[in-house]
Amino acid sequence: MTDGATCEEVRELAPELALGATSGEERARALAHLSRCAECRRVVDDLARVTDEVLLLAPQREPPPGFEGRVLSRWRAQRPARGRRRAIAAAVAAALVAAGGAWGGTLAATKLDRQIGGYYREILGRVNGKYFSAAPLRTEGDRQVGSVFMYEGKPSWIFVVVRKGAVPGMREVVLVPRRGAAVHLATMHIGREGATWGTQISSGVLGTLAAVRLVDRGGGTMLEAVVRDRS
Amino acid sequence: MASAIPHGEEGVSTVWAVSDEALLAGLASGDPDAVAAFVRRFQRRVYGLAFAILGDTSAAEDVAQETFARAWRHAPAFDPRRGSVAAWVLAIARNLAIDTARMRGARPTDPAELPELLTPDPEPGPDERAIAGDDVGRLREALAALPADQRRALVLAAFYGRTAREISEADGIPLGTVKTRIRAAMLKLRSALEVEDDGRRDV
Repeated sequence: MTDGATCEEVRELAPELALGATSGEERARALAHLSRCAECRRVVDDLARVTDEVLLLAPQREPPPGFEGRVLSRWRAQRPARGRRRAIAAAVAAALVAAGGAWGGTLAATKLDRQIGGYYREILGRVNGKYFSAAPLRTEGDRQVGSVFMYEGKPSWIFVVVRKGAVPGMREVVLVPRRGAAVHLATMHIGREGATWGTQISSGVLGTLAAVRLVDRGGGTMLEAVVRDRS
Repeated sequence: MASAIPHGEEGVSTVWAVSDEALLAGLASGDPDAVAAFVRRFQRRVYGLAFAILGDTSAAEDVAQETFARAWRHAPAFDPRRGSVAAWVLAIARNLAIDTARMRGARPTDPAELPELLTPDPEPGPDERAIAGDDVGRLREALAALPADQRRALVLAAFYGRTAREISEADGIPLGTVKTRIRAAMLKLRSALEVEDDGRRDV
């Protein structure tokens, strides 16, 4: 068995690991250790943050004329179909203002993109929360078919967006905490165009989550979004 | 600065009131206005970093474009607890720029360019404080305060992706010395960031 690096060796190497300045061999030995040692991972992550922030010191520079237009053209060329975009945008806006109780089902979006976009921006601008995140929703084959959005504030909310292309059917939305039993939250129906679902949720729950799953009636996990550990 | 003012009837205040994280979430859900605002907010930093590494306007633009393309593809996977949105986007730009540099053959390092990284940004955008915060100011001071050897090693590693061995061989310095300089520099910079840090990002 190859001897792995010790904590002491990894701590000493940590600044270089965080910068990516190690040799391949050093990195491999360190990673083997890091996969087993949370404390050393914390040390390296801490220094990785320094690397990230250092990049912010680079001088800003105006891109060539027309840059922004070219980037947006490229984005438009690969954006999803109109109907689904409306459904997603409407779902985002609606979930943000959900004042209480759950709503479900596929939204029939009737508003124009611009109206929804403006409303959405306004809501986000007024929001006074602490934490907004998204986690990709993947099949067992690791294909992303949607996202889970989580917002911690007053109120907190969670919503699930499943794209067209996911296997249709009835699914149970299950919250999987890091400790304790999974909680069935609701049942949603995924149609041929996908689906959206969201609910307000008690403050503090989001912080305990390990994953959100969409489970079929037989209890098999169809889709999963892994929530990053906050500890 | 024309590029800092978003077009449309919404006006400046609404867009700039939206946090980076919320804008990124908008990107993830495909909101076209969020995409445009995101590009406007970060384009000078992204292009600036790419240009600093590559020194070539068209290569830098290619990298900057590809950076935004990756940003909207990977937006759903962003974790705000791991760092800021700005740092995330710049890390993408940095890796793309380094890959491009390696493919084109190593660009000769020019020590005279490094001090440029120390001067305050001559044209801070209206978002400078919003994106950078006080951390960046402290970091800039800490970098300026480093001995020149440590600063050079750190910049070569952080911006140009050089390994300790590559720096040692290019500059004719013992590997151990380079490692010591990198470590010392990083630890000093980390202390500079430790002040008033509760590890959390506010929306």
